[in-house]
Amino acid sequence: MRRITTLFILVFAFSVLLHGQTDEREGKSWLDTNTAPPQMNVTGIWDGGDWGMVSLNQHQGGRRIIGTADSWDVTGIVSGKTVYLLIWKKDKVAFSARLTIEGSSQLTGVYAKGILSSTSKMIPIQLKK
Amino acid sequence: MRYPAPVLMLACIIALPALCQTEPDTYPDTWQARELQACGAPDKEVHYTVDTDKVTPPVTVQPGNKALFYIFRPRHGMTSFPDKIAVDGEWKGANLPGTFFTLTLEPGLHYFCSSAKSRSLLIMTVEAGKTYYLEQQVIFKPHSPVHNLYLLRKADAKPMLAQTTPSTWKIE
Repeated sequence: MRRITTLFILVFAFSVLLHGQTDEREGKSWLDTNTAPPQMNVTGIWDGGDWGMVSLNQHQGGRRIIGTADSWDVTGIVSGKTVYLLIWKKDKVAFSARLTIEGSSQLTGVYAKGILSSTSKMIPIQLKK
Repeated sequence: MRYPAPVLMLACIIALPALCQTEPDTYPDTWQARELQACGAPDKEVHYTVDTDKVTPPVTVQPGNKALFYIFRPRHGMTSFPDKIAVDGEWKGANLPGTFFTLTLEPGLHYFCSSAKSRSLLIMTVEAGKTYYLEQQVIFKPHSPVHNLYLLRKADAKPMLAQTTPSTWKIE
């Protein structure tokens, strides 16, 4: 019985580990499909409504984004005038978002649970400076 | 001393990449790497004995060339353990339920770490002359307390801040 329990724990731990890695790999691959040079810098504090205050940080001339949204981790990329964000719950992608800039103080787009795809149930989102 | 034009042009071409250099486009990749950046190395961690100070008024004047932070912790149920804050790996202070403290930071990118039983991170680029409000939220749950560090709008922060008193601490 003890062996079965140990085996079950090992299989469970392994699947959890693999699941986390899958999310990380899928998230990175989703971001990496967007390869245009950045045409904007989104660094700053954005008011995300229900998302709370969203902090985005992008190096001058860089494409990568790091930040926080209501205490959730955010990573992302700027491709042209579009921002692609992954919102992490520990090592799992909870949501992803695609936003485009409007003027200099508004990002508008959609988000969905997990990684955005053509079949995702998309919800509108707006970030304001 | 005069240099021929081709030599000057070659020197310009060689110097160009150095002049055009921007910041490297990298950030700490994993949560663990960001935690290390925010909270610092485990051997540098400090432990505080925290109390309230109802006598000494805290610094609340915006210095103009720096960012001012109000860091507060509202009362939530039965939690009584301290919640401490580190910025860029350096421990800055701590709160008990119902206390606050202020700190000033240079403008730029900063990594915040709030630590009470578990840790919560906040990464933000701050501007000189601006005031920011951070809420340490610790909610008691029997097995794992909920712990978050939130950046709040001024309008949301002010009523909560009004119900807190200044924090004071000693390093153990």
